[in-house]
Amino acid sequence: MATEKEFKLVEQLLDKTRRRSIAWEPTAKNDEFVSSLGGRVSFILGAWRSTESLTMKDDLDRVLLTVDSDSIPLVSELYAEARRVALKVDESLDSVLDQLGRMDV
Amino acid sequence: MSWSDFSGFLGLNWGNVASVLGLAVSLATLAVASKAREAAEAARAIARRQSLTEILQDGVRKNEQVGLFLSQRKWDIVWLRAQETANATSLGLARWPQELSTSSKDNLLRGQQLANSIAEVALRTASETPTPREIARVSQAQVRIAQLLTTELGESLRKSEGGT
Repeated sequence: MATEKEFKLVEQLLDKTRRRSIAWEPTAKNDEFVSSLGGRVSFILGAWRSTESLTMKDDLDRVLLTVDSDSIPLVSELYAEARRVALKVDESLDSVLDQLGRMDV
Repeated sequence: MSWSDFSGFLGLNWGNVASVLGLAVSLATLAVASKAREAAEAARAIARRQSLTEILQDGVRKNEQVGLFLSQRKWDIVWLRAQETANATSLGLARWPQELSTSSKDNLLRGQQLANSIAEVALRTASETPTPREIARVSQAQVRIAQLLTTELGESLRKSEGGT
């Protein structure tokens, strides 16, 4: 059972990710993305089958908490948004749309 | 004032004169001690910075070896060196937090997690052969760690050489 603070954390991370205030980047593992905050903690977003999970670790690599989309459905949205940022989906779309637009000329 | 007047003055006020002289000596001693403390703190800061630089250099070297052994598909050594790279970042974060800015700590935290992810992929290769896409992802992560650690190493060297 997720706590109120954990709900709030996911909400805040999603909001900041949407605003592009938090940068995510892909790790060596498939469908896993990492970010860090305030020089104190790192966040790892991963997907396993149909469940997405968020793990928060401290600077000594100790797991502080793990929540998944089964307990907090918003984790799925956060994962999708972080993936979009990490893989630069919007930049790629802009580039493709630009190229397609120039084809009409 | 003649010498005899001065002697007379000293004879009558020797206690006050001694107090003023004592105060002056105390202030001078305090100033010297304060300077010495500042110098000692500066020396300690230089030593801390030097140690941080060395650990970052070690991390950069270990990560270069990850790239080298990845190209040779020596996964057991990739696993070992990736763990050592992650450990170097953990050590830097834990031992010299006051020498690192928030953005530097963020860079090291990312480097730490990226190195961990390489180690996890390398460990899995004992049971399953990695696909070309997986190898490409490991390679990209290794390059990204190199960028992060080299940036921090450069920053640390710059500060060691007197930059602000």
